[in-house]
Amino acid sequence: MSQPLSVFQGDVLYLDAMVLVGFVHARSPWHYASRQVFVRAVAPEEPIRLITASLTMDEAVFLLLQELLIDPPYSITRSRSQYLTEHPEVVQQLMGTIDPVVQSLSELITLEPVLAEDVAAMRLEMLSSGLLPRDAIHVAVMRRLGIDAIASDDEAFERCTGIMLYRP
Amino acid sequence: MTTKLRKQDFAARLSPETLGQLDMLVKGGKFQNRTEAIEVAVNRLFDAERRDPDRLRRAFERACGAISGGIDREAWRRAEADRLEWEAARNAGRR
Repeated sequence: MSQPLSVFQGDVLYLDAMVLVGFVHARSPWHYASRQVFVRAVAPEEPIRLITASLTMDEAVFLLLQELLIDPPYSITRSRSQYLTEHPEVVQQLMGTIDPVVQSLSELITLEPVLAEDVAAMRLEMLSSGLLPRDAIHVAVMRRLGIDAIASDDEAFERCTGIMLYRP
Repeated sequence: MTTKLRKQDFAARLSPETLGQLDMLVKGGKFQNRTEAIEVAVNRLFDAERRDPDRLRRAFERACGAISGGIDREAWRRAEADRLEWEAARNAGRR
């Protein structure tokens, strides 16, 4: 099941990587909705808790690296992962931009580790709902923490029993 | 199997008043010993500091929309696919 992110009324929300990127990326299609969620997270009265797995930061930073590669002076539009691998000096340069943003982002969310038991739960989730491994790990961490709401634009989460998808 | 982090010693000087309060907390039965009470207290203080409104607002302002550039749903999916394919190829020894 899914609903618009704007109608989320709970007090704990799990974030997929695209919501993190949407928040920091001014021209993302998810920026407005993501921003509204973070506004509620810093509200002095009844703030919502934003949680994600530490693994999500890897996804978010990688995607930000890829996005920044599109712009000049790099203007790389294809095989960007490969390009990043072959150009560590570019990764260093881009991290100069990304790092302070990610530091601030980390102050606004709670990062949860991925445990060995989550990997076992990941396998079960993949068998039951056909999720890809990374998405199944998100769901495994959510279930362990007792969280039933995820903010994501990935409709695959609709297949997960007991999980409500909120789309930005 | 769970991994339990080994505790480390550190020297601390507490006022008699604070030490008395610490012992009262332990005697109250909610904490097994001084160490547990101090750990809970520090955790709560840490959480409270994390929730400091001014600190959060500053972090929000630093991060919100800090990066710009072209991105849309299709570009996102391409980037994600590119990354996953690259990882799969590398880990399968094709790269």
